[in-house]
Amino acid sequence: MKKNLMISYDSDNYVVKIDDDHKFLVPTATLILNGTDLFNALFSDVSLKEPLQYDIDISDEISGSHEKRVAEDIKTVINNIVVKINDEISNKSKLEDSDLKSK
Amino acid sequence: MATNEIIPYIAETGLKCDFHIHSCHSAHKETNGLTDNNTIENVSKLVNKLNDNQIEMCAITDHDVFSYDMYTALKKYENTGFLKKVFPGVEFSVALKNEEGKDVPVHIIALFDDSGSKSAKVIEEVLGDGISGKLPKYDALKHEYYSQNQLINLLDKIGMDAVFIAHQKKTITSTQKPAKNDIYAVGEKEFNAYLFSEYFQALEFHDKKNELFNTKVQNDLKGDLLTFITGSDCHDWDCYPLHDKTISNSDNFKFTYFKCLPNFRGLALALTETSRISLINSFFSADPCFLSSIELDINDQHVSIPMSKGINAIIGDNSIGKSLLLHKITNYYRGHSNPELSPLNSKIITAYDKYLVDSGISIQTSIDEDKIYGFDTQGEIRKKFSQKKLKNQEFFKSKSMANTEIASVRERTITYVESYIDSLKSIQNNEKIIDNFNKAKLQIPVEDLNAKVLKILEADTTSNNNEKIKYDGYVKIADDAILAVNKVLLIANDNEKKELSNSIKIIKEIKERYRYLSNIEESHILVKSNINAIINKFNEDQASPTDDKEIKVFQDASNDFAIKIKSRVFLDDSTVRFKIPHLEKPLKINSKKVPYGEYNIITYSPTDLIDDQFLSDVLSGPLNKGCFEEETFQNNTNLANALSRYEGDDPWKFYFNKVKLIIEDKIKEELKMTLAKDDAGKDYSSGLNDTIYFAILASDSNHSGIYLIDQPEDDVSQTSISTSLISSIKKMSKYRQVILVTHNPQFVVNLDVDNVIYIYSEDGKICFNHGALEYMNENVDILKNVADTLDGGVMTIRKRWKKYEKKLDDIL
Repeated sequence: MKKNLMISYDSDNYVVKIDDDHKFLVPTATLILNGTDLFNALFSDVSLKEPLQYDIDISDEISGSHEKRVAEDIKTVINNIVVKINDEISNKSKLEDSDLKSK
Repeated sequence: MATNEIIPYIAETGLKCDFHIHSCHSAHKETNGLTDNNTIENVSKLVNKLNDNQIEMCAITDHDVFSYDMYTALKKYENTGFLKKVFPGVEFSVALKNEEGKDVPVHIIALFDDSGSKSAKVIEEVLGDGISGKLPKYDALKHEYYSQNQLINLLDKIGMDAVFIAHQKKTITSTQKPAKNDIYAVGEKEFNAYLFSEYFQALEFHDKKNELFNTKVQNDLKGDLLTFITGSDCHDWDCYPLHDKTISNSDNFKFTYFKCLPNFRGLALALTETSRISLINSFFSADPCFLSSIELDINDQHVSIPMSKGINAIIGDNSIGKSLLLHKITNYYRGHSNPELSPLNSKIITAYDKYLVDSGISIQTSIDEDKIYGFDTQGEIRKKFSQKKLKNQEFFKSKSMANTEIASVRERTITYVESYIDSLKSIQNNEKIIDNFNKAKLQIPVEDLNAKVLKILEADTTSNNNEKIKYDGYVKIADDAILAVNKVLLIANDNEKKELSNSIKIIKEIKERYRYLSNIEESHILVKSNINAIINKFNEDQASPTDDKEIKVFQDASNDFAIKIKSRVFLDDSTVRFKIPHLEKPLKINSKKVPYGEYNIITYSPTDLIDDQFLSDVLSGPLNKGCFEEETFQNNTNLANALSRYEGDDPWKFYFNKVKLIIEDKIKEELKMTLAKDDAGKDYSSGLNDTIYFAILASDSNHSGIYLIDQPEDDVSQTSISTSLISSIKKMSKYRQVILVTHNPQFVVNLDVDNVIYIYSEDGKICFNHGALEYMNENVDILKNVADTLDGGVMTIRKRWKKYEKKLDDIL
């Protein structure tokens, strides 16, 4: 299932919103991504039967070059996680196929 | 009289017998004419019926008379069909005294020995043939039976050996009034008196219903005092084996089989040994492993000794080669099999072989080792038990039955434990994943690590270098041309010298032009090098290598962060929690019992119930107590801590191997011997002695093969021989062929062996006589060999022979 993410910014946080529902915050003061918060917001309820499809956009409201660069970094990190999850799904699927064939 | 007798050496099967058939010579007592058609002319009719019923030994036993012609008419058919032996016989009516002293007429069948010099004609001469005015002359005219005294006088006049079979109609335990002429009519007390005085050797019965009662009586007597046989009592040959036409079916009648040679001695020996008589022709073991014969050459003359599937006894003088024969036919295998218990060694083998060569004997027979059930060599029983050299557990193992359930349950338990430990390992890994995940944080760089930096390209001097090299080459060509022209000048005339000088001038001009161009390129290179030095310095100042490192550090941190999140995504929450080991259903191991008569050999596991408690115990075994108790084990920490003391790459594997060893020690095959009657199953295996040993061997129907034993009498007491060993070996022969060497007559006569091999020396030459105990011909008399060879043989034979008051002197 496809999920749409939007990265926006207020003075205190970079905000990652998923389908206008869950929210994940990166404080501007520290720029630290908390794993538990990110998992709970983005991945706690995903189905692992098929690859994840996350479309991540950066809000036009982010205009400063620094803020844009940070938002891009956050997007890169999330995409990296999605790629790794999809790789594992793909590997498991290949293993299951070869198990079935061997049987 | 001359007969067609063909006597085999040994009995290979039972002989089907009927010693109670009437002819027309019984008509004087059969007023209803039942026997009228059983005439001498109709003997062939009877023979056909006998052949139809596969009768091999029989007798016509008329009431109180004997027809020699009838007997000889039937005897002519010996060895023409099934019939092998016809005995002369009479059914005597004799008055025995009952408990009140009154005469009670009973019927007793006498079968006479016709092998001696005396003709059976004498029986007719003494008793008459019942017709032609030769009716029985009873001493009491008003009765139709002989008195005991008259019978004894008549038998004395006949003067032939005989065996006696009393007629039984009711069973001993029957409460009904005894039937006419039934032996039980004398009353139980008198019956027992006659029985113990061995007045008769057997009871004949007709009705199958008696069989069960007779078997019980025989078992109660626990000896060979009384045997039960059947007889058709046929009065009308047309409806043989029925009594007469009034009987509609023969369902209630079974013929009796005798395990003996078809001669009188065989009959007499069979009647004194219950194991030789049966309603089922099943006297020998069905074991396919047996030795059918011993083949040997003595001074190039071939000798073939048929071997019985039952008991074969080798007898002979000391040092004649009895043990040698056993060892040689077993290919000296006891020289290497358990040699510590066997007297056989290389020296003895060499001596045995030399003895055989010196005696001109070549033994061709050899039993494969895998066809030998056991071979107790001379003195071995003593070594096994008096010297305690038998390893009990090894012995019981050889007699036990593999308990596959134990291995199966052990493997299932190990598999469960392995999977359980894998799950613990997985829990621990999951805990690590969660721990890592909980700590997962990623710092986004404050500065843009990928921002562009200014770099100035260096000036390229390559083309300048190439041009300079080219111009320098032209200068060199001009130099070479000037040098060559100068050399030509030396040989030129004046006009030519002038032209050449002009040429040199032109070449020099060319050379100078290119030198100039080369110098220009060199100056360009110099300028560019100076500029590049400045550019390099600028570039070095613009981007330092530490920036790349920061990018790499962030990329690694980002990857690590992503992996932690991914691992948490794929973590199965259900495997995170610790579970107490639990089986859906406990596994029970049943012990496996192999009965050996009054003993059982049991294969069992010390732990026979695999339940949650057992699993908890074995899993805790290598760890601290309580590791697997639910209250204290809410997570994997205790176990992880406990495992931390194990060294090596994989403490879980080390832990599993430890648990596996504990399981293998608790679930394993162990053996014990119990008494069949002991429900508690107490282990008596440490009490194994020679009596139990032989009792177990005797009852072993599970293992195939031949049993050999050399002089068992040397190693066990006389009491053991008579009370248990003989019966054990006799019982053993039901399941396998037995070959024994003995000096003790009890092992031949009382054991009632099926084949005797008598080794003796005559004129320095080794000779063999062989055959069943009853075997005899013009040259060989096995019973006499036994009597002559074995110390106490005469007495042992006398004790048994006495039972039928035969002329012992004829034999001994």
